[in-house]
Amino acid sequence: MTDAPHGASPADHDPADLPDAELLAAHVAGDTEAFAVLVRRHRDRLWAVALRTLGDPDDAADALQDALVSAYRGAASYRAQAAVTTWLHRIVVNACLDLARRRQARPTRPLADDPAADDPADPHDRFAERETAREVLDALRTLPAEQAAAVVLVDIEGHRVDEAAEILGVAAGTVKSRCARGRARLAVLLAHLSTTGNLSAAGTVPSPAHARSEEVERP
Amino acid sequence: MTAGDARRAGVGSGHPDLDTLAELQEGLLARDEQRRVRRHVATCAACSDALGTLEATQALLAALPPVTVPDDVAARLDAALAEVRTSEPAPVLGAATVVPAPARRRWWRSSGLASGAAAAAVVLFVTAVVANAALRAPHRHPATSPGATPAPTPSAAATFAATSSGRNYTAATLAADVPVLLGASAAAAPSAPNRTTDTGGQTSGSGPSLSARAPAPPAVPAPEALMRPQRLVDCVAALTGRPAGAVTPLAADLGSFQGKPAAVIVLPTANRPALVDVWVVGRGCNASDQEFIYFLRTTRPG
Repeated sequence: MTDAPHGASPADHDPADLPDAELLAAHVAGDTEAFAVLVRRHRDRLWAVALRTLGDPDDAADALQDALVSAYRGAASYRAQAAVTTWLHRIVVNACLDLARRRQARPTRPLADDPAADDPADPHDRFAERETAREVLDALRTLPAEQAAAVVLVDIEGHRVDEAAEILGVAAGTVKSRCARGRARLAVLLAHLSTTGNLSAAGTVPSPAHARSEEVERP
Repeated sequence: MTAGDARRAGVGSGHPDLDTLAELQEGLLARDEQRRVRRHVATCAACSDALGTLEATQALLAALPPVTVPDDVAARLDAALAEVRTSEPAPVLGAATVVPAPARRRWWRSSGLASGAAAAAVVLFVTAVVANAALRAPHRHPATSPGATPAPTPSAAATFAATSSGRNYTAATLAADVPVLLGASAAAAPSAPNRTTDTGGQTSGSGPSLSARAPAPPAVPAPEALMRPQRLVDCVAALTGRPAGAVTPLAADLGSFQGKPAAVIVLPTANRPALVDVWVVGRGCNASDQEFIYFLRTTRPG
């Protein structure tokens, strides 16, 4: 990975064409711009994960900034066993879960209007889409952060379970279990948004006490 | 629905609850329970609907429009990275720090690109050779020889004391923990800081606990099962890109980081005597996978 694209006709090379691993290698080798290129390439998806895991734009920005600075400094530790995106996601998710734990110790922030949902950043966004996104965000915010992260990675961002497991640093079964419980809760909260939503018969709102938890992670 | 149905479904309220149905979807139920729940759902319209709602919820989540970073957040991220770039010009440790300054340009556009690219390539090559050498070196498979004493290779001689405080570190408090870590380590080996000879897989010297800041059990030798000294040496070699034993940690402590088992390793910052690098890695950190969790560069106390 040290030779390929910058040998032959370097003048043609747009950094946007370089693979992630080469950008990271260039960063580690002292290139001053490579990391910024890498960040610009992936920051929307990383932002989506942070925003939806934490449910709060300010928290998400804090976590994403911490994570990217940490990744910048720790890039020398990256090895090619994992994809660069997996590595980046892992650092971002860790920062989010850390921040969520710290938030837990404090009074819950009121569910203020979400400025991100009102932000007409994408002119193609339609009102209904934004409303749906906002309701999903509010619902995700009620989940334990670990569950939210699993649901965000698998159900929203479309990662495979094994990828999510690698990002979260847990077993695949744990990811499935978190997804299942997170979905069960979301199904209740978001039933009115889905056409087949009818939970009156099934009745029971899942309670954390019921969960047959195999994972005891929180101290 | 009869009482028998409800009991067979495994739930007192008469129907499997949503958690159970969601676990059914994920294939998480034990075979017997799975069979019971499936049989119930097949004859229960309400539970079929509930399963449909779970599927609809997944579809709803999958259909969410992608989001883009708001401009203000993007600007903030750029500023933060620009700041860390100017305050820490070299993101790397070890070999790669020898990259000459001119190579730190935008090598894909600058007119001196060829030489810059060549320098970068050479440095990466050197790093790769070191990493390869570390991988090929003997005694790199602790799992296959758990009781073996490492043969006296140069690297094996350079092990060091690790404490095992069990302390839970966090990103927020890590910088404040550094003086405690270094203090504990220095007291453990006052005459030859952090270079205690270790041939039997045990750390010598029993450092004081980290209880200066928080109640914690006294530091004890690191349990073999958690992190063997040789593995710690390999881990440090991998983190620094230097040969095993070339960099001696100032401190190493087994505990947890934000609730997960971790090792906190404090290393001198290459060419920056006033700084230390604090690496937080998984306890499985070894030559080929550092299990990187967190990194902090901070001022060296004292």
